[in-house]
Amino acid sequence: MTEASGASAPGMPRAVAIVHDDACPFCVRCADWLAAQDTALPVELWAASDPEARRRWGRLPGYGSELVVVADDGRAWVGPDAFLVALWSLRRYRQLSATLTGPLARAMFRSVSSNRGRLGALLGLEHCGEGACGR
Amino acid sequence: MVTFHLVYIGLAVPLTVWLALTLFRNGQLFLADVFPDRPELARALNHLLVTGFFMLNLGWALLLIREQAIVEAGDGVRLLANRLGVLLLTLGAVHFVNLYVFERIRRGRRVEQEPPTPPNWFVPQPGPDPRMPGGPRAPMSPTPVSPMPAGAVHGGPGDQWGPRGPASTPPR
Repeated sequence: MTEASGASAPGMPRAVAIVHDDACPFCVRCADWLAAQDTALPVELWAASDPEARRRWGRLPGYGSELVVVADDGRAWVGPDAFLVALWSLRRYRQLSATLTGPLARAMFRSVSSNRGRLGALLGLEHCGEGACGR
Repeated sequence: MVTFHLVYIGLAVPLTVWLALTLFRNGQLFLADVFPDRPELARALNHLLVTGFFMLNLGWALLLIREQAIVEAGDGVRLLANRLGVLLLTLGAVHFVNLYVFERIRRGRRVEQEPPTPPNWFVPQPGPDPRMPGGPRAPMSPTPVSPMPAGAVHGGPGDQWGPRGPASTPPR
């Protein structure tokens, strides 16, 4: 707590990369939504099937099956934590991300992640828009 | 009857005041940590919270005074215990709500200084890496995720981040 003031080193990442599953229409839609938001720090969106992304982060456990967020200093979040950090990277949802850290919210993120195929179908997103899918 | 009320007030008011002072003293430290750059804001917020605490609890303590026929001495003691019990329970509940409010404020502030949750893994960054044109999706920023010297990062084998093996990228 006391170190927080002088903690630019471990504290704030200067940029984050968000790796999403591009074989899932729902995820691609979410990525598009995210790209349109006002970010609080530089954010890069990567598709999990991207060879460069795979080369860099492909050995992270859960890569491809879970949402992955990697900071420029090498910190990586996978799964529900990645959802939180992705929200955190958006200016508008930063405060919200602080409140969604509980077990209930994590369970919700986990279920969104594991039901993403069904969610996409439910929302009528069989195809990826704009040909962004599966690239 | 009057003695009963006097005893009740004599116990309830100091109790409330003592709790409020405790809250004030410790809340001050807490808020000073949350707003290190703005002590006057911390003080104002603390004052407002304690004022609310006082109003709620003194009001409630006074509301608990009601007419009640006391026949024998035992009734009086029982009634007093009952009233004080209700009062203490309420004070406790309000106190925990207050702690929760402090914690919420603190978390909301902290999130401006670091991500809301600690990382699961630690990835050594590959060497200097200009973005490949056309490779990844259009970046939202011109700044690439900045590289760090390979190995330097992963060296910290204390690995608070978890098992180290799988998170490393093969060197080029």
